[in-house]
Amino acid sequence: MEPVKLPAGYRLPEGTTMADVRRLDQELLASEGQETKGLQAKKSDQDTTRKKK
Amino acid sequence: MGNSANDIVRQAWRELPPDDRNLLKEIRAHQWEVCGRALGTYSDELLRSAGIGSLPESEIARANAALALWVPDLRVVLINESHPAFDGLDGPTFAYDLSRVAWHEWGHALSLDRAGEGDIAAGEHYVELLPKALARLVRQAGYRRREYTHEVVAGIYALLMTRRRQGKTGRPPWLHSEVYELVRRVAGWNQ
Repeated sequence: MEPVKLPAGYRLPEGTTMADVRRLDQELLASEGQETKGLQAKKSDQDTTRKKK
Repeated sequence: MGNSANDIVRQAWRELPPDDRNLLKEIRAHQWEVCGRALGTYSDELLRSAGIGSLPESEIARANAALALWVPDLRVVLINESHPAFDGLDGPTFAYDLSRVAWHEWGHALSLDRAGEGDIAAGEHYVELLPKALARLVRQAGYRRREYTHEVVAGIYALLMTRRRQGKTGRPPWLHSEVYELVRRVAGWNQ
């Protein structure tokens, strides 16, 4: 008989809660917004510079 | 909470991209059960009653701590809705967490079936490429080195689904391209 394949489980480190996981999700997703804003600001600066020229 | 938990998982299933649902059906990973049991003990009972065999005691203890489990020999995702991690949550938060956990397990199913030996051997490397806080979650949850790749795929797959729900697609700027390509290749992610 083949050995039983071990299941793959979703476990949290000791002391970590789903609230921590949600916070991490939010931080990562929010960082995208900031990055986009940063890129937009940079583009806007470049546009302004171009116009000044 | 039983019916509503089932409804939430059904909704999470429906939210998967059609190609992903088809892939999961292809590998016979489209069944789930929401239960209120410690999953190591429960999956061991199911495995024994199906005549497949028994899990080692150490593995039962590890799986008992899990919120959810992909059981390859039974082709089923088990979710423990009574896990303390779900205690005291309001409806929307419970729905968010449960969906996330279900997506994680479907990511596990895809990874266990489709990751190659080279992918598994590179597990530590993939963990190193994750954002620091995500890497910490993998390293500190007691996974074995050979489980790292599956955790990376499952964790990122769940996050990509969370992001997709917000209308965001493509590679997130915080995700290393090597990890993104791994998830695309192994989980078939093409969003």
